[in-house]
Amino acid sequence: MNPMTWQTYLPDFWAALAQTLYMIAIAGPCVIVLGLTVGTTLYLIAPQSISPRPVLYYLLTTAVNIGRSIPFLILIVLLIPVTRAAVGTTLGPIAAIIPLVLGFTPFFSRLVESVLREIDQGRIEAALSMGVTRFQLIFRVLLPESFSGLLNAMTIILVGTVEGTAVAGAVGAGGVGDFAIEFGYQRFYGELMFISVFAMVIIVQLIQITGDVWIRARAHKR
Amino acid sequence: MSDPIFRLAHVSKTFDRDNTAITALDDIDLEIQRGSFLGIVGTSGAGKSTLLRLLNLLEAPSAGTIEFNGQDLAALDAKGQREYLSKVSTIFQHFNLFHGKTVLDNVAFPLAIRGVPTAERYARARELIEKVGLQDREGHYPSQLSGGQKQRVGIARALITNPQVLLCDEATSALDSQTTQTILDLLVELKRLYGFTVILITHSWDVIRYACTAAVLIEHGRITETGTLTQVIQREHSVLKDHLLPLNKDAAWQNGPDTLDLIFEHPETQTDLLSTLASALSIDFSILSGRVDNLGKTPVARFQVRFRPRHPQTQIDVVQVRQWLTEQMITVNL
Repeated sequence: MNPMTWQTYLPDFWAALAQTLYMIAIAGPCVIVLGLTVGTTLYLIAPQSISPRPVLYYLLTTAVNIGRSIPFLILIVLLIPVTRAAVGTTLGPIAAIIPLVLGFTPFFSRLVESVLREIDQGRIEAALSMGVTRFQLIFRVLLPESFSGLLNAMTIILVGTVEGTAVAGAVGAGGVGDFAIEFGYQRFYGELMFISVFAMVIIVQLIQITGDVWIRARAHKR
Repeated sequence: MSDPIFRLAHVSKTFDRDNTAITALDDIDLEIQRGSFLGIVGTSGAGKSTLLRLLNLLEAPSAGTIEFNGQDLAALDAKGQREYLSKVSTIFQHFNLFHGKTVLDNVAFPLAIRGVPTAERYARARELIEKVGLQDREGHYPSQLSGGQKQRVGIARALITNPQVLLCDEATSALDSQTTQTILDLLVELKRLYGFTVILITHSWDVIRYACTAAVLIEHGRITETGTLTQVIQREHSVLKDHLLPLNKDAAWQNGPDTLDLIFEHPETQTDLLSTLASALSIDFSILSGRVDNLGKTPVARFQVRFRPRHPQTQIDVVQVRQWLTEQMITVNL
């Protein structure tokens, strides 16, 4: 019988990588859509902004702050009942998606809000002086005019989500992080640890480079 | 004939800053005549920007009424406001173009938000882009244009809805003096072509002299003087006149009963005015201060002149001098 070598576990690595990509592919877009919604709302309803709703702003901004202040690992544990109710299990990549979305949306919302605040007030007033509706203001002015900044924020949040999948892996979500701990650390396969870290670096690099290239291609539109 | 496009009655605007009420406009009454090229002038913080922002609905008045063609702006619903804003367009000091859109899409934007089909709005946008002389730039982005070109895009964008009024919010303040002139020339030309009314706010007397037919002076939130330039320069005491046709400040102390302040148009045809006067009434004169400025295309001269009798024993009859000058259609102030 052949002795077990690190190569034996390569199929497990590919499965783990697929789980990680799956978590990012589902959680990432959810975070982006929810964060754009919450961030845009925060921007619009802030006091002195376009549609001020001070009480609602205060409630929403407090909720975002609370969301940001809970460490991700603790958030996963706190959300166990919610996760179980929603997807029927607290294990596996599907179970990690709810904590990932709830954990990273507050941060991304804040990034979106601050990117929108960077838009020159004059361009917004120009649009208002032409008679745009609120809907047109958001989708034809605010989001397109801040698109480069939003791309940058999306790059940051996706890289954060990759990190998040590794943390979630440690509590049973699977994925590359989980694989690295189980095979690289606990079973002393240094090669597997190296491959896992290398895979994470590649994923992060791909996201960052895609973001950077896209932003650079839009340089003259800023 | 009085035909006001805007009529403001008892308009006030107060802002709340840290629970302190700040009055930006204080009981403004103003009629703006259709077809005029009106300059609203005043120092920073006088309230002229606020006045413009009331007209393009970026602010609502705290008190008073604003009527546009007899329609009270406060009575407009959201749809009415959008309709109104297609008739009253604004251009801005910092142009405020959309950086993520090409020149063509910037100019077409006011039609895009009104649901005009793509082909139709691009055709109309190209027409205006050509009018402002940027036909080879329609695919460029604002960051690829110079300041003057950006304002040309701003003008084309403002005019695409075929407005009755063009509001200019310090529209040339960010431009050098030569570009300012070409932009003002363009505005005068387009106004002649399309017949809209221009309301321009500025702190530059050069802009008023160069382009405006009428002026409003705002100081500390109140209108302190208004009139056509022709009216203004005929007034005996007028802050607008003194800014449009300034005298040498050092000459002011020399004001006396024998000193007259003369204003007359077309000085070229009046070159011998003072010598004719001197021989007709047998007096001598010296010029204490004087200059010729163009108001629009009309050169206007203002001289501060001291008269002396030719013979030391005789007296100057100021009344007679004034009468003689008035007969020559010269505005005379003591």
